[in-house]
Amino acid sequence: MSGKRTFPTGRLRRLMWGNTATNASRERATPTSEDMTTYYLKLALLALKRTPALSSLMVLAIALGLATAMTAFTVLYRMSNNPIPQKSDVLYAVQLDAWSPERPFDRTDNLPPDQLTHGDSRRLMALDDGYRKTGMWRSSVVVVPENTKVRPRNAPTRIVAPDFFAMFDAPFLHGQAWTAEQEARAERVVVISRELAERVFNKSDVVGDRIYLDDEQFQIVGVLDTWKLIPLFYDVTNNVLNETEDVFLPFSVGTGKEKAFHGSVNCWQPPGEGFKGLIDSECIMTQFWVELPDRGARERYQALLDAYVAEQRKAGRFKRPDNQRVVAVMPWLEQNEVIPRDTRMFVGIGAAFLLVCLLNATGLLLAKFLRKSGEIGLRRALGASKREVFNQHLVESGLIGACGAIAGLILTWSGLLAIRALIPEYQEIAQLDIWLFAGLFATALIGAVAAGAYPAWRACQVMPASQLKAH
Amino acid sequence: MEISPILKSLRKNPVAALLIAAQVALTLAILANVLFIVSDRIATMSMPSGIDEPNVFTFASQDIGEGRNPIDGTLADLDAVRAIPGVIAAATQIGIPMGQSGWQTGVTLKAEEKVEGPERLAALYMVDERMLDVYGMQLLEGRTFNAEEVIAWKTGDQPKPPVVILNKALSQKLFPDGSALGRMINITGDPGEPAQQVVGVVDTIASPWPRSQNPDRVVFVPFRPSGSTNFIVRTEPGELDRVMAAIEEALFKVDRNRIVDGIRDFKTTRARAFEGDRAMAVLLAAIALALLAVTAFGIVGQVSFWVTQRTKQIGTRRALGARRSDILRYFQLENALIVLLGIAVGCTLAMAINGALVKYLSFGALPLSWLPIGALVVLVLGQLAVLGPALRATRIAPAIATRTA
Amino acid sequence: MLTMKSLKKIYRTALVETHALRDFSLTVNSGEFVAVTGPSGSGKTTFLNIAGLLEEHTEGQYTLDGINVSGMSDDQRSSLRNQKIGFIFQSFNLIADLDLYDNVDVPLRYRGMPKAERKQRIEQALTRVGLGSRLHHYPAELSGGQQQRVAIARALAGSPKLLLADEPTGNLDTVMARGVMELLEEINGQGTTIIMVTHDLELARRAGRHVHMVDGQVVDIAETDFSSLRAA
Repeated sequence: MSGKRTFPTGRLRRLMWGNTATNASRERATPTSEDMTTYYLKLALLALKRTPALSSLMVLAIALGLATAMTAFTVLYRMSNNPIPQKSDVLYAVQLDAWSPERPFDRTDNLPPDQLTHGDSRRLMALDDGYRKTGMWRSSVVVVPENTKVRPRNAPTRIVAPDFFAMFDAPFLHGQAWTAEQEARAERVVVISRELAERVFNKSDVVGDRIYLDDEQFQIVGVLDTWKLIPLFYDVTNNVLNETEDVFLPFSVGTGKEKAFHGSVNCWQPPGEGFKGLIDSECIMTQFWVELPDRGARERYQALLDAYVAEQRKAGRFKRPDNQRVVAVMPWLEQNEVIPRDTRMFVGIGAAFLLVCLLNATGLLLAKFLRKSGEIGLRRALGASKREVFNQHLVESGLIGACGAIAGLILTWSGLLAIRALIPEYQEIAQLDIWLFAGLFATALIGAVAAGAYPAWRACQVMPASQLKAH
Repeated sequence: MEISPILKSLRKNPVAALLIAAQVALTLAILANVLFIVSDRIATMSMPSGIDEPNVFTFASQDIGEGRNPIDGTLADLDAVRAIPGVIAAATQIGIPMGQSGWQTGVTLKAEEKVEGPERLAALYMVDERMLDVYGMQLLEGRTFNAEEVIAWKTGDQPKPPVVILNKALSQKLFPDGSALGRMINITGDPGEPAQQVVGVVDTIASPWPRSQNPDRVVFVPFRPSGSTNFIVRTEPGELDRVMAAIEEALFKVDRNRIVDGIRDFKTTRARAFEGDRAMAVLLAAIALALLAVTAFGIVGQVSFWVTQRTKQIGTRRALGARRSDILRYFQLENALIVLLGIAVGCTLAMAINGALVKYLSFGALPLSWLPIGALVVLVLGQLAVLGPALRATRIAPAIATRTA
Repeated sequence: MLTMKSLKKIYRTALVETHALRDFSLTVNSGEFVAVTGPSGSGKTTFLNIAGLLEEHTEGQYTLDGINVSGMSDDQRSSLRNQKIGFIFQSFNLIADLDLYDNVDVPLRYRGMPKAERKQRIEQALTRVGLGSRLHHYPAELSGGQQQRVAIARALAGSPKLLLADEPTGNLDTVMARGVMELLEEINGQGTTIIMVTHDLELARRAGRHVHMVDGQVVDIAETDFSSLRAA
């Protein structure tokens, strides 16, 4: 209970000391935790002000450790981003193994080649299996503007089947994909990005307009809104930090117009002459994706691949053991080591550095708290319980952690700026989001409280008696 | 100065000392690995390209439409480029050191031999008879290509030349025991006896992929890429910027129906190739500095506290005849002991961290020589950090002993 | 108020066993002013530490205000200390970083009093010791005698039943010491039990009862004529 007594001022002396016999036996009220937290915060702020050098040293150490770890972690986290969370479980990269009978494509894990031959892509697309699927490759076209004063420019291009857009949730601003019939007839149709449309036409709604690509006119059937996929998972042979392409051409058109393969063309035996020889060779150069909505579909498609390989074997291909498979988006990124090993190393070093900084804070907090052991002993003598002393010092550690978090946030931000300056293509990668922001604060607080736990425990072990000794 | 009283005093109150030792251990472990990685990256970044770097630039030209004959067009382009004052040599090319795109091929010496691993792969450079002038390379043996040997090449053609030139690294790899001159090799993967004869060996030149496992092996073939292709130009010293500025106009004079882009001096090419390495080196160096600062200031802070805590004890020692230097040495020795403990643990930890980097991220193994270097750094750091507080301790008056606190 | 029966306090280290209190018995009644004297090492401080619940005794029985404190947990002891006991130390032991108001506030905080009540008590306690106008000064700005008055205010603000004073005038000059002593007597006169450890025999003689300790035991208890002291 917290009986409230009033002190009529006229009878002050009598009340204060005269009636202790009746009042001193009352129960001690439990301090409300809010009250005490405020009190501890006040004391912590005071302590911070009284030892500015030591305190700022700790804040700076925590901030530096935090900033390093968080900068590294931000890059890792953004690199590990699921680029298409709503569909990452139904989109599958197809892998076939028509590599050299003499040696595996991947000598450590015997993974199948990371791309398909152009022929395999063509034949798998032709199968009437009812699934959305597309073979594809990256290329470039020269965009020739109407205005002859503007110089022609290369535009990054992807050669795809019409299913591509629905599979990867490409955001149509205007129009839609070309039809299967248009694909089959290799019609000169194109889907372009909003950015390209605005650059060439100064407007985005250009469906039905014509655009000169390389040496031919194409009809625009669709315009995609700004579309970011980080990482650009559907083609890991190119830089996964590339932006989505500006031009999308039908697979049949890209093949007919002999569009070059940007990325990698990998051969285990020499191809025939010319583009025709290349696309009919065993060289791998195309990516292939299929959308399989459920487990049953996945099993059926695997069976279909098995049958395809068996049939191709009759024609003398696929001389290696069965190694055909489908791989979902996230395992695909994992398998292709999309996250640079430097990033992982950086995270490890950052974490170790944070640990050093926390150890450092522990040592300094210990020094700081024990320097106050006189005051602590006094507080104990005046009735503070161990828990109260412990809590007081934990709050002080937490306050330093919070300051460290704020300073660390600024430093993290500078660290990310530095990374963006050093590696321009990390523009989108070196960015803080709300979760990282929250994580940063949580890490700082948890870290500082963890670092302060031992010193606070030592503080509450200070014997109250140590105060009574007259020096 | 006796060590045992210091040890006894440390053993009595071990936690603070252990915290410093742990910090030193981790610092050393991180430092050794970081320094190693940074020095490794710096070594990678300073890898020689083998070409006349300050005076070389590259660009791409692309014809639009079915206008001109690609072979004649390219010859006309080359004439126009060579006519720009200040140009020493120009060629179309596939393969520029550190350019990060190009061709790679397996090289074998006998029929039916298989290219088993990356050790038999080499970069394939298409060059013409001006190769030495264009790159600014040295011929070590044999000859360069004759103008008659150089064939125009278009996308899709398979390069199957009768003669090739090797660089020094590839020559030594293939023929460790003697000269490569006149020897036959197979760079096409075609079955049967090797069909390419080595006619020359040039000095060091890097491949387009400096971060690959075989960054230094190159085979040159006599082809002149034609049509839409890449160019390399070498200028007189000091003329580079002027020629780069003039190149577009010179080519538009030949034919307007084209795109000229990617005009890039070699300095930029090199910087792009090592962008990641440079970033990592800069970031890790910054971490190393921050790490040293944090550890040093941590020691300063903690030792300052010890000095305050021991004021009376120090005063008493002084009263009993200890000289200032004795007090100083006490703190220095104490710090050295703690740091040595940290170093002992830190060396093990450094190897463990490196072990993880080697195992999971296939980094290089940490040479043991980095450990003593790291150890020396933290030892000196510890001594510097302890100096300030220790000097303050020496100024404690002996009279403190008789005073009540 | 306080009963100690056959208390023993033994400090043990690996080599030495020190008997700080041996068979120590003492009863102090409510309202008494007891002075404890004795030479250095006689166990005065140990007695005070145990009486103030700062240390535990090794053997024997100790009853404080009717409560047997033997075997109490640290938390219970803290709480009891906070409620029933006020301390006054030789070196004042004010917290230098806190102003007078916050110094007196310390024990009240741990009692969990509402803010208004704390404020009232603090102001009254400081007014009582003559420092009501200096609530927001810092200890370093005060003389020794004033600092000890703040310490007394801090001890009294929580209305303790028992005041324990360890050489309360040890660090003060004669004039200031006299002032502090008079204040203590006044407090005692209003009903608070006081136990004061001192080596100043003159001071001890002014107390109601004088206990002399040697080697951890009480060797002499002298009652002082309380009323004559008052008259003086």
